[in-house]
Amino acid sequence: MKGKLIILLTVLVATLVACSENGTDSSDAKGNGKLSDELIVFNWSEYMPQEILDEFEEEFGVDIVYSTFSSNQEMLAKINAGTVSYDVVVPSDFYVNRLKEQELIQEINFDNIPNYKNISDEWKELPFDPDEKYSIPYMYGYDGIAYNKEKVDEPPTSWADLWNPAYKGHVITMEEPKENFNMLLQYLGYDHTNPTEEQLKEGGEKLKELVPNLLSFKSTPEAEFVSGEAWIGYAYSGAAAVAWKENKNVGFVLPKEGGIRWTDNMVIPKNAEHKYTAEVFINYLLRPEVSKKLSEAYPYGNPNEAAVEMLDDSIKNSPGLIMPEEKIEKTDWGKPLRPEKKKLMNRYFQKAKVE
Amino acid sequence: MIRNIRTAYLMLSPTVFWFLFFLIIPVSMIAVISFATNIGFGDILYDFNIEAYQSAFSSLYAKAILQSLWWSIIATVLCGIIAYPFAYFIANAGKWKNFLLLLVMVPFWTNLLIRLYSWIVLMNNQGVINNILLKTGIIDEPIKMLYTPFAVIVGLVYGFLPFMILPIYASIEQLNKTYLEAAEDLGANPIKTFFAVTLPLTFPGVLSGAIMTFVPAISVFVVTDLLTGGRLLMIGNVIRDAFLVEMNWPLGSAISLLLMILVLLSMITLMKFTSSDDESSLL
Repeated sequence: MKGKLIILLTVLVATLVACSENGTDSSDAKGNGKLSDELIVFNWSEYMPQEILDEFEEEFGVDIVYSTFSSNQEMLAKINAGTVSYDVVVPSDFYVNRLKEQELIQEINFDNIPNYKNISDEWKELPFDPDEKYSIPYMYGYDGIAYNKEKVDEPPTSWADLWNPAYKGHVITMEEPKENFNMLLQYLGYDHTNPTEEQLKEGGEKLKELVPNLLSFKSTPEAEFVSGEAWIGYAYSGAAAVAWKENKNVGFVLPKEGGIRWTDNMVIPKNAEHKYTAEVFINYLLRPEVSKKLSEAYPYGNPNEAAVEMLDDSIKNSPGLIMPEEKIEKTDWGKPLRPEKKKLMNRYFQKAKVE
Repeated sequence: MIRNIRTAYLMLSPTVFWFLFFLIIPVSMIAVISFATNIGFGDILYDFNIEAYQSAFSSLYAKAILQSLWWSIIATVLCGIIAYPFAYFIANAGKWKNFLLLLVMVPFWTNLLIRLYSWIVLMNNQGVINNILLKTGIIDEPIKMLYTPFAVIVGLVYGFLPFMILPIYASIEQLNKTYLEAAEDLGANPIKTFFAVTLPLTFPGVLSGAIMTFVPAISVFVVTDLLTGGRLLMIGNVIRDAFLVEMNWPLGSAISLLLMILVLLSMITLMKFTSSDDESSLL
């Protein structure tokens, strides 16, 4: 019996191993200029109109396998696991850096992406990829204050407005601890990229004071702003823009403390099996008329100058889409914290909720 | 004889593999990871370390666990109170029985997330319930239901009620009707019959229903996420955050393991209590 069991086990393990090593016909992996049949794209959810994918499939005869994630951490965990060899992934700014450090992404061959010229200079040579080797910006935006002009008389000017007792029960803030602490630390006047333990603690206490004023922790508060239930909130410019489409009373400002700016960027993982096709796809996305469709569906900031020029005024006027230069300069980039700081930050975040 | 045992083992082997690959190996991996060292961003170093357990036993997590425990106990008890008459009615519904059972199951065909979203629409300040109450003049100001512990309990009861109804139904259905006749013959009124015969005899159904409700209820996180807008935490949220937000796998594994042990212990206690109870009530 034992013998049989061992044989059975070995067979099973062998099949498992064989399965995980799925046969690679990676003539395209080196990027030799031949389109593959398939392209695996990994992007944020609610970030790509189906139309764009369909038209690419039709034009190039490539099947797109499209899957989504809802946080950078989730994306990183899946790429780290390496079970799916994604061809194009869209991480946020400093996660590009992290992926590079872990040697999980590879250099992009810009010769295959002539449309890169459409990207405005402002969104080139970004601090997480200063030599422009690994990433190409997809969309950008700001973390600032969204508000309802009917309920908030004066446009908000500072993070402090979120604590205003007049708005009790109608304030929104983000879901993620890191984003909340970016705001909290910036409000307290500290460097949110490298806070001390004391400063984190102080941020946590500030957050605890905010909780009674909150409607909810939500990173996608569009519905709440459209219905008017949310009056003011720490939110993405893109969320304000989406809500504004339905309710013209929604506005967006960057606070005097600065606010945060971010980009999501297209990268090609190291184990991509269709590198050349991935580059063709990125180039296709950077066509002005394609990028325009992206902006129309999801009115975040578009780094594609040529596409922005083509946009209707109605979309150009979306709150937070085009910001005054001096405001943009005051914004900070967010940066991931070191593990022990991150742990501490989460503790204070959860504490504010539990107590 | 030996041949028979061999065949027996061979026929058991799918189950053995199932347990090995989908229970024993994953749980041991969780156990191993929980003692490893966290170096951030989801990476771990296989160096023995009990730091994860030190954090897991902090007062913050104790509070989160107690809260979850409390809410899921309330939800389980409420489920039991609602489900028993429900199941009793279905079991005695004659030809409608199958149809009613189907109605209990139908909500399962829709994802829990979507069903919870509909509760947001119902319980909102400007939602259906508040609107009806305001229009009929029963209340003057909307009652705040969403974003409160009340919403969590509603979500848990609603989400796991069928898990309670089905086992209770099964045990009422199997109840030997001759006991009821005997009770009646001996002069017990219907109420007495119910409390002295029906309820004790169907108690195993209530018990398995309680376990099937309590276990998923204590570890769920979507209910708090959706119905309280992330303002309240259950232990499920804490575990999810440890993995996905903090990317601290040892911590997440340690809390998962502790939760597993807690659930196991509470089940053992529950069974100890009731099994002795059962026998005495039958005598």
